[in-house]
Amino acid sequence: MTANFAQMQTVFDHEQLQREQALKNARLGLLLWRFANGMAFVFFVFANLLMRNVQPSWPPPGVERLPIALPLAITLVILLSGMTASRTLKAVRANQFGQALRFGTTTLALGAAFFIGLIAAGAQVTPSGPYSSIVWAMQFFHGLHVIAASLLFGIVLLGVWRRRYSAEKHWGVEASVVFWHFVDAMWIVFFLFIYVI
Amino acid sequence: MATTVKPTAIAVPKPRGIAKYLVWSIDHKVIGIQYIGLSFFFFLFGGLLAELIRIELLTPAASLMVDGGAYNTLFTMHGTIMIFLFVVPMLAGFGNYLVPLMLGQKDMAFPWLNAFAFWMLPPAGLIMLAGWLVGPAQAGWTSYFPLSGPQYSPLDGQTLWAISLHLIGASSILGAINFIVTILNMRPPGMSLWQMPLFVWATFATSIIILVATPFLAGGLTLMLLDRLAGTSFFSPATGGDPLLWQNVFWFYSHPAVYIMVLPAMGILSEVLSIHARKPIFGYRFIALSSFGIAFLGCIVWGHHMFTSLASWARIPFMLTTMLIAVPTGVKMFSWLGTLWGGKIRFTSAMLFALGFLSMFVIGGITGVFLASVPVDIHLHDTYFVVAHFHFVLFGGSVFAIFAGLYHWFPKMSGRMLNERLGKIHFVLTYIGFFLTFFPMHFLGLEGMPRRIYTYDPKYEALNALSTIGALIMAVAIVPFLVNLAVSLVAGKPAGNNPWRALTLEWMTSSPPPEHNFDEPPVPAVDPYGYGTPEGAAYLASGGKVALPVSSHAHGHADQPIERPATGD
Repeated sequence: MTANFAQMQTVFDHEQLQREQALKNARLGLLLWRFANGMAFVFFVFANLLMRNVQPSWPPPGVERLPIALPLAITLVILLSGMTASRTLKAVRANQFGQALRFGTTTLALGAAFFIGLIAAGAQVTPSGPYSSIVWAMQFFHGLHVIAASLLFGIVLLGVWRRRYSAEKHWGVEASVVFWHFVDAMWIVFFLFIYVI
Repeated sequence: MATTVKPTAIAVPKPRGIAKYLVWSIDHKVIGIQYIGLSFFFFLFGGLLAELIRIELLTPAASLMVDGGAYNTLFTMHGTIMIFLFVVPMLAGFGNYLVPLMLGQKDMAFPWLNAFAFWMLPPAGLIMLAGWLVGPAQAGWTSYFPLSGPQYSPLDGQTLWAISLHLIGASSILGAINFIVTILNMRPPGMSLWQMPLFVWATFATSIIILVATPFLAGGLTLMLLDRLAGTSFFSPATGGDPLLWQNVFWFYSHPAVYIMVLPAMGILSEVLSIHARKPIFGYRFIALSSFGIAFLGCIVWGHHMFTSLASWARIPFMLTTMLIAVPTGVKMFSWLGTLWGGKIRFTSAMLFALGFLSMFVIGGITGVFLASVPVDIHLHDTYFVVAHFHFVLFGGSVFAIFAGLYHWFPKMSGRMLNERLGKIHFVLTYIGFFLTFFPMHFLGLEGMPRRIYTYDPKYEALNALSTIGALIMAVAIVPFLVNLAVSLVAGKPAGNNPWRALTLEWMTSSPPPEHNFDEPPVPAVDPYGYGTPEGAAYLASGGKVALPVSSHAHGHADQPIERPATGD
């Protein structure tokens, strides 16, 4: 009996170890993914700077500076969505799934609002050669990431609704929230390079 | 009395033999061989294109091609296929096969992701080849604007080219993430970074370059696709765009890509040279760290491809960083020579190809320093000198190392030895053919023959003829290798666990290794090259309780390890 129990204990420890190893790997993998994905965002900043470099001024002569009110508003929206995303993770960690669902759906709604605002901000740009090209490309590239982050978050939220996660096991929630923050942060960088600098 | 019938699992017959490699598998060894097989197919295909190029250039007048467009397609597809569908995935294949074995692991950190990354490549290859159905890409593998813009490349092949490269880049990034996580997180307890073989170090450095640089290729290709499909104006001067923008972002990826293609090849060399010279590698830590030196410098030299178009203030910094790369490369070169010095060299086919690498890569490396010098480069830019230089680095370097690796690890992968006589014929013909093809190109370049032309001044005819003869010899050279592969797979001599008496972990299991790689989780030795000796075997058998002599990195014979207690390094 005791031997059996010890045996079970080893099996359990082994599985526990494997789970911990898998989680460690997944965390590092996601970190490296964010690094590589971040380099793609750096690429657009690099391209933006090189394009300014060959123009006499930025925006180029004859092109008007873009209005900042709407972009600023959607920046606030995406920052707010980052906060609700964090609260979703916190709620899952506390086993409060009702609250997690409320914060999660709010996050998705804010993401959708941001996306609509992003399209509206794109519509404010008039075609003007290189300037409109890079602004649109940056908005397009970020928009793709908002769609990806929303899909990931939505699938995970469905899992929360079906009680797939617990305070102990919630890597999916953690990963989707971490990626959501990444997409948030990248918008701040793009906002600065499109509208401010 | 009710009897419960246990539902038996439905037995899905596991594919065996060759069929195993044609279907989805998450075993890193199967995936490694899938990479190697697929890229070897593209090597043969790209080689065929190269032969057509050389046949066209046999005479100054147009002979094979009806027009320059067909010739443009040839060298565009030759370059793209050799780089993106042969060398890069081939080395990824070695990495997939060897890294988990060398770390004593069962598999990579993310086996499913590993398979997914591989299976992005066959569609990418098909999309690339599909270019011929819709009018193939003709803008060169560098695809400079405005050549690759909608105006001069109206055919859809250029768009397919960009989509295909997008897929290959994504596959490469996923593979790199997998390697880094495996190397950092999956080492067995007790194995520090300094106990990893040099091939693993090289794969580590390469994966970091991929994470830094490949996203820039993806970004550049996205802008190219937007220009071609959505009418934006990034690169086309006609609409206010800047063609130099493409050159900057393209070379920010493509120069580091040279090191993506050379560092793992150098890793292969560090393994092969030391084992076939029966001597521990000289300067282990220096070789390991020089890979990172090359990786770092490699990311800040891209401007040297654009000396003729770069702002004059930017030329000198790029010239200096480029020349600096000779330092870590030299560290490796001299360490390898130090390894050979006083060794009991066995001239196996693997060793011959490794020595071939040493001799050819030195030439390619030194002409690289020539080209780094701004005044020399302005004269030689876009001439055959450049073609000679990068073929000495990529064929004389990477391809020779790939063949060295294939001869060295084929026994592990298949359980059978390759025929040495055929291997030596393969080596001699390749070596002579290679040198004859590419060495004359240095002189053609110095005399001013531009690259990427299909008709030329008759004064270049003699050297071009020499070059074409060399190319035909190389085509013949591959035949003994193909025969060797086919015959040895079926009737080769059984290899046993460790036919080379090698000292690294991958040789400590059967050939080919079982699905789980090692029957017992291996005990890491103090020295990454401390497994193959009888003392090493006793150490492993005792579970790490018997002291293992530390073979000195600098001196000593692997056959007779210096007697020193294992007190750490």
